[in-house]
Amino acid sequence: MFTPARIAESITAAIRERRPPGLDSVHPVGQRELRIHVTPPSDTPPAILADPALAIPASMPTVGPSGIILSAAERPVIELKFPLNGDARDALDRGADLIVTRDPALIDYGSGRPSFQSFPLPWNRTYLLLQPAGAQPIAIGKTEEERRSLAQDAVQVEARAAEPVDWLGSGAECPRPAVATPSLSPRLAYVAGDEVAQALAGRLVALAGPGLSLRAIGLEPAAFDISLRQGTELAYIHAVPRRSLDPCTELAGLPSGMTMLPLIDTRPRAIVRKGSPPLTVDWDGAVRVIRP
Amino acid sequence: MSFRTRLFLAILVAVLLPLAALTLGVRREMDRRLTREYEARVTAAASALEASLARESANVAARLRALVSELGGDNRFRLAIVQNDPASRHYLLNYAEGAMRLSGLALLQLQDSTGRILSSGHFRNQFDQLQPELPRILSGLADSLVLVRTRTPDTTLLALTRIDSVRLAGRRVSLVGGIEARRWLQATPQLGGDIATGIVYPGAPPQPAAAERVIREVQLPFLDLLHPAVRIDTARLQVTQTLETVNALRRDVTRWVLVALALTLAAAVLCAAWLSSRISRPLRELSEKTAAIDLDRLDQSFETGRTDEFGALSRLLGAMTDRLRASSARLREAERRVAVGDLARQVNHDIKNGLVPIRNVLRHLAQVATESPDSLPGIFAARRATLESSVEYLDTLARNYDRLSPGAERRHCEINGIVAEVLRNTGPQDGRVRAQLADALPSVLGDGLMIRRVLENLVGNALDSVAARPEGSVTVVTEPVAGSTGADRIRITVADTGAGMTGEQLERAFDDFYTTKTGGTGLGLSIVRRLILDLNGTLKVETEPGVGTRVMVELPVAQQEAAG
Repeated sequence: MFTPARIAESITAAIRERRPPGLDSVHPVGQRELRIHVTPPSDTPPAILADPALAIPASMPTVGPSGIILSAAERPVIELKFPLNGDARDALDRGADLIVTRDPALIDYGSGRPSFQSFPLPWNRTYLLLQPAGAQPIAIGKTEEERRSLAQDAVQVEARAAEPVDWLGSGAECPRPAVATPSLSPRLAYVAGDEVAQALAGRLVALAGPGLSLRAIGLEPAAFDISLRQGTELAYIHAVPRRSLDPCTELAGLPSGMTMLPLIDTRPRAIVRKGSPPLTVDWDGAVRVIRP
Repeated sequence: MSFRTRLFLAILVAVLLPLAALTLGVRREMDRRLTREYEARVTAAASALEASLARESANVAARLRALVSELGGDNRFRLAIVQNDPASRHYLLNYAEGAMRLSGLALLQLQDSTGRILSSGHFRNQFDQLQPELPRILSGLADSLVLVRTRTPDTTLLALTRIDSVRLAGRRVSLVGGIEARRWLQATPQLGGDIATGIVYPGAPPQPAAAERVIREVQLPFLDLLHPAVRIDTARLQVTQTLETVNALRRDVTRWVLVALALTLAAAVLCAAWLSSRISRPLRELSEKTAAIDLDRLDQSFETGRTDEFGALSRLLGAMTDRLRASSARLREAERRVAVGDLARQVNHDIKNGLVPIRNVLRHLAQVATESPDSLPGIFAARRATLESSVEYLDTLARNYDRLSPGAERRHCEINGIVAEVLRNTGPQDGRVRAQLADALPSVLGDGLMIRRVLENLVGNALDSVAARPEGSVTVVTEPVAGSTGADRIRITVADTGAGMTGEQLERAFDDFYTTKTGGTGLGLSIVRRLILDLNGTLKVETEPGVGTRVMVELPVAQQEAAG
């Protein structure tokens, strides 16, 4: 149950952990009210409150594609189904009204169904090629043509050559860990399970040729973070959001001194059943149901 | 080296050498038989591997033929070749991955006539890379599997490959397909748990150094796409049988042999100690008895009931002792006869010396009686002294020889009394003889006559020594001598201020028949020495030429003698 005390406790914990700019403290007042102190004082709610990182943790899994069933009643009833076991196309067949996905097979299937229509969501993820300082450079993806080729052929999701990520250059004053050791292993690491990163890594390995002895390796997220902080691999494929309300939080996981080369941008698609309540897309690409 | 050590070594040699020979023999025979069996098994495994290789070659060829047939009717693939638009290009790039999965291959690569990779199943994003060597070389070896070393995004792939091709829209498309070599090798039925298979190819990581193993090899062409200079080479499928089992058996045998040797060694030590002790004991006893044998002690008994060599040796030693005993008796008898002969010759000589004057007087008297009987009384009176002197001499001689015979009896004797009697018998000596006798002397146990003869000889010699010296004197002193347990001896000292003796004279003074006096027998001091020894006493002489002589006799007192 979401009580003001629990909400305040959750946000306070996030503030303590992340130190988001503009947010000072949160206090519960009674049973239905929160008092939020912002710095500097402002008449409008700070945008940081929209940061998903401040979301209240719920006891439900947050992995895998999500399906939403909307009701056309006066007050829409949203039924969230987590996770969608098996083939995601089955969710459409079982009556899901909205699926947000990057899976080309699912998108192709939804687009082929007359009762569904799909539309692209904003480019919300950028894949970076990271290399510790002093590592033998991988001279791939430096040109627009190479990045376009990566987007068109190497990955199987909707992608484009990467465009500049604004917040990457805005965090000069953010505290960032330093790489402890130069890279030693001729490996290109990515987060295991991220098929886009895996495909990019494979293409870079192919283009690097056998002479470099480069090979791709998928690491579990925790191991990937540790390896990235220590800089033990020759290079990393790392996905970051294209927009961030708190650049320092995003940059906290990227050690200083690493070269960062944006390779491609990707975006998901929303597959929506025709006749569903109207939807809108938020600033960060999140889909929101509009109250009729 | 002692007898016990030799015996110990002999037991070791007798026990350990056969055991070691048995061990070596068992190990060698075990090695030979197991190695021969392993060689047969490895040869059979290699044959099975060759057969499996042939079957897999046919399987891969059949799958590639099926794909070629399928591609011929795949319009979408054909359009991708012809149009190369983005939508069909994705189909082309993904084609090999799906086809490879469906056909059960581990490697599938489609290449055009220039060697450009159109689609790769094992490495999707390797598209557009040029590998002209692969189809060219494989085409030359179309009938056999070729071991190809290539790569995937994250690892290297070793595949047994073949090639096929198809013409689409006037263009030749090569299909290189294969199965994973190591997985095939692991799936190949083996003949035994100890048989291992491996792939050896140029540039392969070095094999761990195996100790000993039996090896059979199957050769096949090898193509290394990771090498900068791609060329055909030869790889070897190795079938190996490690000799770990043999080595383990060998170690076990060695371990148990060592245990057996240790036990045998311990048993041999105990056995050698017991046997050597048991065997050497009679030898030691014989040695001790033999060491105790002396000419004066030939009473050792070598009698034994043993019937072995020790018994024979003991009897031999007993017989030898008997012979020694007999020889010793004969030697003593010979010595006695020599002594008696010497004495007889001496007596003969002395008697002859005494008889010569008598014979001369008698011849003279006989001549006078024949020629002038009237003067016979006068002549007899004149020669009577000679006769008497000779008779006296013979009488003295007889008494001296009589003294040589022992005949002691032991009883308590008062020394002072005997000394006084001897001095009385010397007659008046004008005060030249003095006596200093201690009071309350204890008695001695012995023959009083023997003690008297000792004193008579000593005092007589002393008086003879001072006879030529008017101021010479003889002093006889008796005194107790204190020992560790009190007065246990009595000393009798006879001192004179006579001529004394030289060292040479002193050395011979106690020899039989040695004398420096005219008319002496040379037996006095010799008899004195024997008598004192018979009395368990001691004799000490201090002399200096021109100064005199001190003779000290010590005799044990009666109490101590009796107690002793």
